[in-house]
Amino acid sequence: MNKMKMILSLGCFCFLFLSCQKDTFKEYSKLEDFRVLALLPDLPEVSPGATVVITPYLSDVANTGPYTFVAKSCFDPGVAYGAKPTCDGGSGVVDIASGAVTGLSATAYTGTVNSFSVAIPAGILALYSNVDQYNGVSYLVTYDVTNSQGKTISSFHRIVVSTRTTKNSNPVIADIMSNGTSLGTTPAASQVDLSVSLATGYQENYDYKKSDGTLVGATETSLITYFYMDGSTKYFRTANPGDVNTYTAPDSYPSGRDSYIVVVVRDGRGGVAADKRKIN
Amino acid sequence: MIKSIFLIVILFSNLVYAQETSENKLIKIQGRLLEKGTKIPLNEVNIFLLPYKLKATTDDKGNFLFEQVPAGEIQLVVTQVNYQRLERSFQVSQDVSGISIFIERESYSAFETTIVDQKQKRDQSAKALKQEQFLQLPGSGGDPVKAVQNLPGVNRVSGFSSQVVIQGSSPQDTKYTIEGHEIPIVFHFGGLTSVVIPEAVEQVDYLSAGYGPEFSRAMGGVIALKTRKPDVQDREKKGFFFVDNLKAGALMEGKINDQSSYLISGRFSYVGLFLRQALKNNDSLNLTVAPEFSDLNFIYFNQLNEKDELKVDFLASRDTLGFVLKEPVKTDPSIRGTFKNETNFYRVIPTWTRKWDADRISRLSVGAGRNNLLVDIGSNYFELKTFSTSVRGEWDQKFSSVWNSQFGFDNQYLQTKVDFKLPVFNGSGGVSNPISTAPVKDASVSAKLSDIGLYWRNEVQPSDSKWVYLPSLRLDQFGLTREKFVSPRMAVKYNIDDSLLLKAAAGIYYQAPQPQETSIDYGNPEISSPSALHSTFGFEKDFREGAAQGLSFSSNYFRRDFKNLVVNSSEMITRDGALVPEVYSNKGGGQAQGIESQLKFDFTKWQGWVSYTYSESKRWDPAKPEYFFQYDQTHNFNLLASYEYVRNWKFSGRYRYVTGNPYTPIVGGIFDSNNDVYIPVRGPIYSERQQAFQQLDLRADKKWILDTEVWSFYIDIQNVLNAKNPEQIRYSYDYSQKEEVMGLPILPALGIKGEF
Repeated sequence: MNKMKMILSLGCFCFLFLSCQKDTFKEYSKLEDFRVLALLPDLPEVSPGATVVITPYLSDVANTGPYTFVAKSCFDPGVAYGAKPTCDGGSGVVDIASGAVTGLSATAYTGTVNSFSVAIPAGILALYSNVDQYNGVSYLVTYDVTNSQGKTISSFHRIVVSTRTTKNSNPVIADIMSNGTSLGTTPAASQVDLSVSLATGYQENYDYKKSDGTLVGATETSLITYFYMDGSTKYFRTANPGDVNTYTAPDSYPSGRDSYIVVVVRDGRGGVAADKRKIN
Repeated sequence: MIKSIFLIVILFSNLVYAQETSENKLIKIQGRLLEKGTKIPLNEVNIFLLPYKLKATTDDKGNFLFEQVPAGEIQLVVTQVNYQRLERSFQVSQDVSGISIFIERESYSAFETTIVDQKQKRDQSAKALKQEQFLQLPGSGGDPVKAVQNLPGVNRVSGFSSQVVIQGSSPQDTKYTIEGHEIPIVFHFGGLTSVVIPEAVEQVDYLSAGYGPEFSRAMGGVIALKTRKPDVQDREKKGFFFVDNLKAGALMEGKINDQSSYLISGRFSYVGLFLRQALKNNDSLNLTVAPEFSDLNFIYFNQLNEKDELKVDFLASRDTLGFVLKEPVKTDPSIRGTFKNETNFYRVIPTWTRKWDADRISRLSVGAGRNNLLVDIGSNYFELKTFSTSVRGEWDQKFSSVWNSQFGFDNQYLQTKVDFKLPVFNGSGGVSNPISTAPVKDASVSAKLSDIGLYWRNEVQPSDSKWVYLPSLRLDQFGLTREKFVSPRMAVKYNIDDSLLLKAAAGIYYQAPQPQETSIDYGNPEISSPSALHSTFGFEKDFREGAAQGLSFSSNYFRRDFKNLVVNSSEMITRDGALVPEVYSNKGGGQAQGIESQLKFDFTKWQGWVSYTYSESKRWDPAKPEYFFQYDQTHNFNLLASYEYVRNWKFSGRYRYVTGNPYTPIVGGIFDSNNDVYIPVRGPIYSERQQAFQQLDLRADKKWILDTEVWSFYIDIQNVLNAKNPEQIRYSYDYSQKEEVMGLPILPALGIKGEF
C-alpha cells in the first residue's frame, strides 16, 4: 500500500500548501461565458427499458446565440475508470436529437432549454454481476452545444440503471433563502446570507451492496452550487442546504439585462435540481 | 660521529641544569590531556615542560605525570599531528593534580568526498554516503536520504516529494530499508526529513542497476540505511541537542558496562505552529490537527564475547495532520469536509553476528513491528493496520583464497487488515480525473502474506588474475500473487591496475504489484508481478594513486528493460461470467538507459564533486504509443563543493541543473453534470516538458570549540538566486486557463547544535 499511502499523504500536504496560494483564474460561480450548468434528468435512477427526459440548463450572459445542439447516448465506456466521456466510437450509440436550442430568453440568459428523451436499453444489465445490477450501471448521455461563434461546450450525464426496488429521486428546491426569507430583490451594495430550503426528505436513505453481497445503509450527501451574474459570494459551493453563504451585491446592477442568482443542488447519486431568482 | 656528539651535548646540558636547580623545591604535576570540545582522552601524546625539557606521555585515559618538576614558572607545550599546538605558561609552587588540558583539533568537520573504500564495498553497484558527508551537504538539511539525491543517476523529484527516483524508474520502484529490513516510509510528511535522526545513521547505501542478490522486490533500487553502534571508544557518555526552524531533538549515547552500550535519540517538529499562524485567517481551510512528526530511535549494542555481538535497533515514527475545508474544492467537490492523516510505525530489529573464525561469519536479524495508517478524507477513508515481521540471515563462508560465498534468506511476513472506502484513482498521463467521478469502493480485507527470498552470492578471484567474478542467484516467492521467480545476477570486475577498475553487472529484478492493484474490490486479481532486466558497465579511475588528496572519476552506462508494468485500464472485461472493469492491466512496458559520471575532488581546503547524468526513460502500453516517462530527465547536473575556512568556518554550496519533467497537456474539459466537475481532455501523453530546473543552495557552518562542549550554528539557504522553477501546472475549473505553480522560493534554514 506504499503507493496509495504516498498518493494520499502527498496529496494532503500539497493540497495544504496550494490552499495558501491564490490563483488568477475566472470565478467558478460568476456567470459570464457560455456554459452548461446542469443536465436535469426527470428520473436519475431507472430500471432497464425506461425512458428518461433530460432538460439542459444553460447560461450565456454574453449572449452568443443562436445555438445548436447534438445529443447522443451509449453504454458507458468506463468514464469512472478514466475513459473519455464521449459516445463517439462507443458501443450502442444512439443519436437522440439535434438542432436548434430554444428557450434561453433575453434579459435572463440563463435557464432551461428544450429537452429530449433517452430510451434505456432493456438488456443493459444482462452481463453485469448481481452486485453491479443492484448498485447500478451507468448509461451515458452526451450533450454538445455550439454557439454562433463556433465554440462547443461538451457535457454529459450518467443515468443510473439498476434493479434496486426504491429508485433515487431528484432533490426538490423548495426555496432560495436570503436572511431567512425568500430571495428576491436585493439592494445594490447590500450583503445577505443565502441558503437553500429543500423539500422534506431531500436527503434520502439508501443502501448499496458491497462486493461480498452484504447490504450497507447510507444517506445522501448534498452539494449546493451557487452562481451569480453580478456581485460575489463567499463560497461557491456548500455541503448542506442550510449552510449560509454570504452574497455581496454589486455597487450597481447593469442596465440592459437582469441579474440572477442560480442554485443547483446535487444529491451525489445522479439527482439534480436547479432554480434561479431575479435579484435586481 | 655527529650523532654521538649531539647526545653528549644533550646529556651534559641536562646535568648542568640539574646542578643549577638542585636547591629548588621539586613538585609533581598530574593531569589529563583531552581533546577540546569532545573531551576525548588523547593517548600516546608527548607533553613537554620548558625550560626544563621534561617530557611525559599520556596513557590511554589521557593521564600524564611529571615528577620532580622544579617549582617556579614553567611552560607546557603539546604538539600533535592534526591538533593545534598548545603553549601555556604558569607558576607552580606545590604539587598539582587533577588538571585537565584541552588541545584543539585542526578540523571538526571532516567532509570527506571519498566514497566507501572498494574493499568495504561489497556490492559493486553501491554508492555510499557516510555520516560526515550527508550531515553537511548543502540543500539536504543534513538528511541522509535527501543527500542521496545528489548522487549521479538519481532523478530529481519535484514538489514536496522526497522520494528517490533511481535511473529512470518510478518512485514506487525504490525500496527503503534500515538494517536490511523494509520500512513503510522513509520520509516524514512533505519530505521534510527522513524518519531516522541523521547522527544515528552511519551510512546510507544507494543500490542501483545491477545490485546484488541480498535485496529484491524493487525494480529501481534500494536505499539502505545503516545505523551505527554507540560510540563509546573514547568517552563513556556524550550527547547533543539541536534546534532548527522546523524541529528539535537530542541524542545521548553511553557505556553500560565494558561489553554493552546504548544510544537513544528523539526528534519532534513544530512546523505546525507556523502553519497554524499562516492559516489563521484563511477562509477556506481550518487547521484542526497541526502537521507534526516525531521519531524515536534506540540502539543497544553488546559485544557478547570475542565472537558474538548483538545489536538491537528500535525505531518509531509518527506523523499527524488534520484540517477542515470550509467549502468543497473547485475542481473536485468530493474533496471537502474533514481531513485527517496519521501514520505511525515501529520496528524492533535485533541483529546477532558471530565470527566463527577468520573464514566464517553468520548474521541473523529480525525486524518486527507494526504499521498504522489512517487517512480520512471527508466521507472516504483508508485504514491500514499491518503487523510486519521480516527475517534475514546470512552465512558468509570463505572457501579458499579464491572463492568467497554467502548464502542467505530474506523473508517477510505480513498480517494486514485494511478498511477502506475510496474512489478508484485514475491518473492516466499524470493527469488525475476528479475523484468525484470515480466509483467509490468500500471493503474490509484481512490478509496474511509471506514473501520468501533465498540468495546465493559468490565472489571468485582466480589467483594472479585481475578478474573478479560475482555470479549470484536469487529465488523469490511473492505471497500476494503466489508467483515464484528465479533471478540470476552476474557481475564482473577487472582491475587494470590499483587505480583503474572496469566493472559490469546484469540481473533480473521482480517486484510485486501494489496490494490495491490486485484487490478484487479495488483492482484486478489477475495482475502479476512486473519485472526489469538491468545491465550496466563502467569504470572507476582514482587519480590520487595512493595520495590522500586529488581527483577520482567514475562513469557507468545503465539500462533497464521493464516488462508487465501495471497500468490503468478503462476496458470492461468478462470475469466469472460477468462484465467488470479491468481497472489495471499488465500491458505496460518501458526502457530506461543513460550514462552517469562523477568527478570527485579532495584537496586540503576544497572538497566536493561534479556529477552528470544523461538519460532517457520511456514507457508504452497498448492504448498509447511510446512516450517519455514522467520522470525522464535528459540532463541532470550537480556541483557540490565545500571550503574549510579558518576558525572552524566552513562554506559549502550546491548547484543543480535538471531538464524539466515531461507532462501531459490538457486541451479542454467536458462537463460532468452528475458531479458538477469538468473531466480533463488529455493531449498527447507526456508530450510537453516543464522548464528546466536550476537552483543554487549555499550553506555556512561555524563551530565554537569550548573546553568541554562544542556549539555549532548553520545557515542553509536553498534557492539563493530565487529561481522560478515550475513544479506543476494548475488549471481553471474548466481547464480553459492554466498557470504554473512555482517551487519553493529562496528559503533560509537556521539551526544550532550543542554537543556535550
